[in-house]
Amino acid sequence: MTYADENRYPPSAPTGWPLPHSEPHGITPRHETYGQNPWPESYGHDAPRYDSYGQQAPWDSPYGHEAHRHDRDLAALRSAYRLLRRVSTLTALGSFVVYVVLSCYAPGLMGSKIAGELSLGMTLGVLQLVVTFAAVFWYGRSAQRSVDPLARAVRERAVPAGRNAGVAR
Amino acid sequence: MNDFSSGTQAIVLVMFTTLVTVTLMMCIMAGPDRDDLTNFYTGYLSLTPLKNGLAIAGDYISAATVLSTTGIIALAGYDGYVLAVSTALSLVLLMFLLAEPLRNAGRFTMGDVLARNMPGRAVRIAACVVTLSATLPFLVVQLSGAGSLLTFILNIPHAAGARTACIVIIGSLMIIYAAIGGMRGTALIQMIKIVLLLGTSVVVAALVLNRFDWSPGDILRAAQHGSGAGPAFLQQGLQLGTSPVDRLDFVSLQFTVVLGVACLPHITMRLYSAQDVPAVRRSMSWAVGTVTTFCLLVIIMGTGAAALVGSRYITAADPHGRTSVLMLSQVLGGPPPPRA
Repeated sequence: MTYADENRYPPSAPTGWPLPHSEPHGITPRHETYGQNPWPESYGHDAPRYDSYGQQAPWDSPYGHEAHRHDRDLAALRSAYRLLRRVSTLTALGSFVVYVVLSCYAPGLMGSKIAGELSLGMTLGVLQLVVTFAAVFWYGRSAQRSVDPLARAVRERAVPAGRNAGVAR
Repeated sequence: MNDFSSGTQAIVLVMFTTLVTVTLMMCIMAGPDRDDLTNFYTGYLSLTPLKNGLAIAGDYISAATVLSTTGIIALAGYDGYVLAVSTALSLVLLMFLLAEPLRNAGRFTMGDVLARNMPGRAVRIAACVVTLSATLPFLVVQLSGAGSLLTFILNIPHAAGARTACIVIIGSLMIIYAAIGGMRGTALIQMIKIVLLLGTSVVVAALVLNRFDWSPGDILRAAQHGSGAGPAFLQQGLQLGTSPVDRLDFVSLQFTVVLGVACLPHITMRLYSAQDVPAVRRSMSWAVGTVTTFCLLVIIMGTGAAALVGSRYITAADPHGRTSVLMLSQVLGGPPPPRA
């Protein structure tokens, strides 16, 4: 007997994995505040955590829709987080790397005076510190705009499903 | 060793003893109520983002940061500036990369997260070894800096075991603070410390700038003169050297600081005592703001020490320059020392 939506929505947990009910119950629920994986980059252990939300496998229950939308929300949340982190880290670390390498291997450039006794190297250093304030503010605002609404949506959807036993708060 | 008069010396001793007693008492009062292990480490989740952020900043700005970085700036100029920038940037990287995932994972340190992802004894042992090998040298540097400063302040003579005894006393005091106060008690101590540190640094930096009539060019010129190295003070090379290998050394030092200092366990532990993830973000904002302000002040103070005290006197007191802040405040507060 086939369910109506079996072909439209691929199963959320790839085949070959143990079915959710056979999972050892010793695994503590790892549902964090936003219900997302703390390490989005896969360390090889990313995938099994899908099970927690993939428990409602489409062939199992009438909540197939929910599980799939949930996974899409999770994926959106995770990629938003990933983008935010990558952009901010690359900017901060990248400018610092350029600064250090320049000051090491182009000492003449960094020593050139630009305003009285002030050298380019010193100015760049102080500028980096001053820009940090703006960077932190920008990060907070970006996170609030892009990540927080998604996280809230994921959590609200997770809570009614009643799967978040023992959310660490 | 220092040229405090005996009256000043007595005042210093009394103030030191009072400070230790008062902070110890506050630690006892703020500590956990019963033998509650979880709340010992999480502080009852009662710290607001501001308090938590200040505590993180206080933990981050250690004795080594204050004393050594100022000393390196005073003695080596540009190398110290880059070091100050790395110190501030490390916390920024922690905020961007690790703070929220760490809080989400519900674990205290990076080792805990590793052990959680890959359960098993070998992983835990590896995490322990790495943590210890990162923390032990850090601890040694902190205690030796604090011991030097204490012998300098209390004017303890250069007897054979005097410095060692000071270090042992300071180490025991730290253990007592941590054991009695738990997360909340130590957070209170760190908050007081960072407020005092920021306040005094602002005063010292303002005095330095005032002495030179608020013109950065004058300070830099005097610093170049006082360090005895001229224009090399404002270029990379005084701390480690200018050969290609030394430059590589310099680059790797900065990377180690940027990538490593903020991930030490005593800092990441404080993230878990925040209430939830938005609170972590806010407390990290406070922490980064405080640390960046402090690094800017350290740059001013270090340059002022090079300009007003001179590298000869600094290296005479301590070859690493760890007493430069103290000597700078001495100079600012009293008549200038005789210069050759």
